[in-house]
Amino acid sequence: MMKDDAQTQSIVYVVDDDASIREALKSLLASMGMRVEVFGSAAEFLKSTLADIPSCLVLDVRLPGVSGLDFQAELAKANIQVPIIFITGHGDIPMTVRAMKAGAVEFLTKPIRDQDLLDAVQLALDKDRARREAEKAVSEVRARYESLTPREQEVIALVTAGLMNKQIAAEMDVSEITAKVHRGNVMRKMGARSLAELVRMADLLGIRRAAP
Amino acid sequence: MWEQHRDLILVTIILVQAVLIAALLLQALRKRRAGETCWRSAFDASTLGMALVDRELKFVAANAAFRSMLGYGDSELRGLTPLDILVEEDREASRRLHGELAQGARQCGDLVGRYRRKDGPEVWAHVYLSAIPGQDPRLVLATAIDITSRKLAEDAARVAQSDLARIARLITVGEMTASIAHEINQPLGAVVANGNAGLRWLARATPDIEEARAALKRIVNEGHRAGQVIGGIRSMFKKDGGTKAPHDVNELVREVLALVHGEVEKERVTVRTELVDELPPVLVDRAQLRHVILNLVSNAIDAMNSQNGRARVLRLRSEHAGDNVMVTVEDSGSGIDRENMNRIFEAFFTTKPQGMGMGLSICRSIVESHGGRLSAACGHPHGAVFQVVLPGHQPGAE
Repeated sequence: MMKDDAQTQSIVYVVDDDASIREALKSLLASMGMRVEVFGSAAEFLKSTLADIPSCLVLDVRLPGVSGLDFQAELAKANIQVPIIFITGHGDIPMTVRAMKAGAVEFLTKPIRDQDLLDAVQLALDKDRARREAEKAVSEVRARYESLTPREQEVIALVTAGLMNKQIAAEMDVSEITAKVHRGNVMRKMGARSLAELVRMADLLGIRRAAP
Repeated sequence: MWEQHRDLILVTIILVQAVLIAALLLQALRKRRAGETCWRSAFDASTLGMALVDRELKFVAANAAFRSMLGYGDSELRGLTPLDILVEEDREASRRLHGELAQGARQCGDLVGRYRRKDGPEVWAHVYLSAIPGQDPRLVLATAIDITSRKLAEDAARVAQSDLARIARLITVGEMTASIAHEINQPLGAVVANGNAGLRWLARATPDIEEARAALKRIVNEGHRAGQVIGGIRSMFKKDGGTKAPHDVNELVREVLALVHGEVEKERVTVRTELVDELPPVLVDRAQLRHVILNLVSNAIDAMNSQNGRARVLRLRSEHAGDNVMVTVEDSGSGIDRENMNRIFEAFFTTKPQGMGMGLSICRSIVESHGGRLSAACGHPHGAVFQVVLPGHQPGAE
């Protein structure tokens, strides 16, 4: 019934100072087949070691000590990019706007409808998964880029700027044949099947030069 | 002047009139002179209700004012005693006073009581009794003033006052609605989440009975928790003060702090508490005393909300003060102007634009009704200090 694999390969964190809410959410999320970890305070959450798998955070806006919104800012500052689902006792519109602007996935009002929570959690996990995949893709491309020789790195910048072999040869002060060989190596080492793909990679790495 | 001494002046007039008329009457009765009819006329013409009562408390004579006050005819009264027409609860006081007069233990006295008119309604009367000297058998002159309208006005004032107290309480409660909504929403949120969890545990391919059972248990607990919150609110709204019981003031202080939590956070107030453990309990109506502390704390927060640049500090202390327990609420706000210091406990005196001026006067009357004191002072270097002193409760001391 459920995408068991995807769900056990992810984790939902709950931070709420109210023990009974915490327990209820833990049970509810667990009954949905989620892996759950609960914390009584923002500090407790920050102290823990987070698993390196897709995750999201269910957070009460009214946390003692720091407010949920301050906590959101703190996480952003610490570069912890976990998607946040806020829970609030009563719909406070300015607060909602602030939270959403700061990147909250969803703002749920208590008592929470379980389907809303499930949808929000799925959305948040998908978002985190996508972010992680994108990051992974970038780091793979970067690793390939770094395996290039300095000459080849020069070539990739020129190729993706739209220069022809002849222009590249002139720019680098080498023969057209040599330029062509470098270009072939670049395509092979980067695993690019077309120029378009190579351009996308250069964009990802932020190394594409503007066309001359 | 008239208001203050009204009773005294009335009593003097009545007694002078009464003694005068009685002396003249008696003289007339004794001598049975031709002038008797003259004194009889004076008696009858008096605007005060007058009657003569004999040893057996039977009415011997009653003037027109007396008869019309009670709606009885002359001959009907003759067969009655004052006790017959007094309402049940007021008879004993009358019987005792008449007894003392009969024994010569005293010459005069007065009582306030309700008489039942012949046609039904009750009449409040202030009755002055004086024994007439030298008479055998003894006679007692009763002079009665109808004070029904005054009594009704007093009752109305009392009702109005308790209504006002309740309104003021409701206003404070209204300000706390957000906090209370939060208090109710917590258990409610837990109930819904647990209920959903339970359903999902049961809907699994292999239903997880244990998890479902645990969820149900949590629902029951949360239901009780919500009930307690409601109970607390109801006691705040209750028209009559609840019963007094020994309570820990520290617990009440903490309860109030939980109630104003949202406000404290919003206003960025720093709360410092110094609560002495092992204080004697205080014998109080919990809701009323909580109202007092809540009011003082809300005032303290209000006093600081317009202030910039200075730290907003709310201090709450509890300590021994001899056999008493003292709770101090201190703020670092704008303080109280010297000329207002004496007036802040007056009803309808307020320095707040939207204030009704009832809060502190109600607080003081609550504290005093618990045998305590509520006082205010200036803080150092700024702010205001309110102190509630309540007698410590010694178990078994009553």
